[in-house]
Amino acid sequence: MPRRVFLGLLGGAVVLGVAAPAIQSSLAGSVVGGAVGLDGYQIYTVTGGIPTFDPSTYRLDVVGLVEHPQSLSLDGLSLLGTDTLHATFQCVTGWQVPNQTFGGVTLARLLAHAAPLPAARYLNFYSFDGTYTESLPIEVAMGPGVMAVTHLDGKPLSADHGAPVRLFVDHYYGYKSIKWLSRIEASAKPVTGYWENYGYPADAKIG
Amino acid sequence: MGWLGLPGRRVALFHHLTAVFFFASLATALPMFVPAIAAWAGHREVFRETHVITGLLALIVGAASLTTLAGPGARERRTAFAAWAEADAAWMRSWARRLARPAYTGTGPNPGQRVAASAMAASLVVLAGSGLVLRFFSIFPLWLRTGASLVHNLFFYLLTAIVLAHIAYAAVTYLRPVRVGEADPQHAGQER
Repeated sequence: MPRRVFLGLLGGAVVLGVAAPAIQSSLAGSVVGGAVGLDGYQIYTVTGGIPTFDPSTYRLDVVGLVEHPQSLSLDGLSLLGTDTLHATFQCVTGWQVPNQTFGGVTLARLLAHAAPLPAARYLNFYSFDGTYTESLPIEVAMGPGVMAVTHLDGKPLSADHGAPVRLFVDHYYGYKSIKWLSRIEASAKPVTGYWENYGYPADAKIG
Repeated sequence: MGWLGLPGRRVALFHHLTAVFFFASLATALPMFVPAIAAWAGHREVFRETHVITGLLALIVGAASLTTLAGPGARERRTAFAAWAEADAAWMRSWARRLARPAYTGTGPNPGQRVAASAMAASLVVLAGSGLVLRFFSIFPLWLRTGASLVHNLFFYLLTAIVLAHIAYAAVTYLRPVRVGEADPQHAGQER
C-alpha cells in the first residue's frame, strides 16, 4: 500500500500536469481556478511593498530621442483619447487571466505626440518604484496591442495592479507589462529589464 | 528507541530538520501566493529563492533520514516504511471507520504513519519537480509551466493537509500522558 500510494501520487501528478491547460480553460473565471493558482492575478512587487503616488503631482514623462518631450499629468493623458483592448493576461509561470478589458492610450497614440527620432530603436520603461524596468523594440511598442493602461475592466487601476498607469503588451508574457509606469525613454539601446537580470528572456513573445 | 519506534536520535534530528525546512518553505510561499501578503511584503525574488532552497532542503534532508547519514539501520527504516500486510489493511479500515488510532501491536511506524509518509514523500518529490519547472521556466514550454503551476499548488494543499494532520495526531498522542497520567510503554521507552 505505501508503495502504491507513492507511485499513484506521482502518476496522478503527471496526468494533472498534462491535463492542466484543458483544466485551466474549464476553470476560467471560477473560484476554484483562483484557488489552484491558474486563474486570477497574482500580485508581484519587487520592492518592499506597493509604491504610492500623489495624483496631483504624478507625471508620465516621455523623453529621450523624441522631437517633443512630454510630461503628462493624468488629465493630460486622458486628453489624448481612450483606447480599449480585450485580451488575456498571461504570466510566464503559467497562470492567466482571460477576458480582460484594458483601457488607456496606445503607445502609438502617445508617441505620435512625442515624435520619436529615426535613431530611436527601443522604448525603455521605468517604474516609480525605482527598481522595475523594461524595454521593447520600437516597432513592437508602436503596435496596436501595446497600451499605457489606466483602467482595468472599466475601473481605475488599483495600486497593486500598477496605478495610476501600467503598460500592457498583448501577446507577450506579463513581466513585459511594467507596473507603476512613470517614464518612457526612446533610445538607441534597450535597458536590461528587471526580470531579465534574473534570466528572463528579453523577447517575451508568447509561443 | 527513538522516532516512530525506530532506533536513533539522529533520525529524530533529520525528521525535525525536514520539518523546519518544510515550514520555512511554506512561510516563504505565502508572500508569493496570497495577493494581500504579496502586496504587503514585496521582495518577490528574495522569497522565491528562499522558497526554492528550503523546499529542496526539505526533500534532501527527508530522503537522507532513510540513509546511513541518519545512523545505522537505514535498510530497516526503508523496509519499515514500505512493508504492508493484511493486518495493516485491517488497521487502516478500522482507522477509517472511527478516525481514531486503533491499537497497534507491531514495531516501528503504524500503517497510517506509513501511508502518510508515502504520501508526504511523493508530494515532496512532485513539489520539487514542478517547482524546478517553475524556477527554470525558460527552458520549458508554456503548457508544461501551466501544468507545473497546477500540480505545484494542488500538492502544496495535499502536503500541508497531511503535515497538519500528522502534527495533530502527534500532539494528541504525546499530550495524552499529561492528560491521563499514564504513558504508553512504547512512547515512554523513547524517553529513556
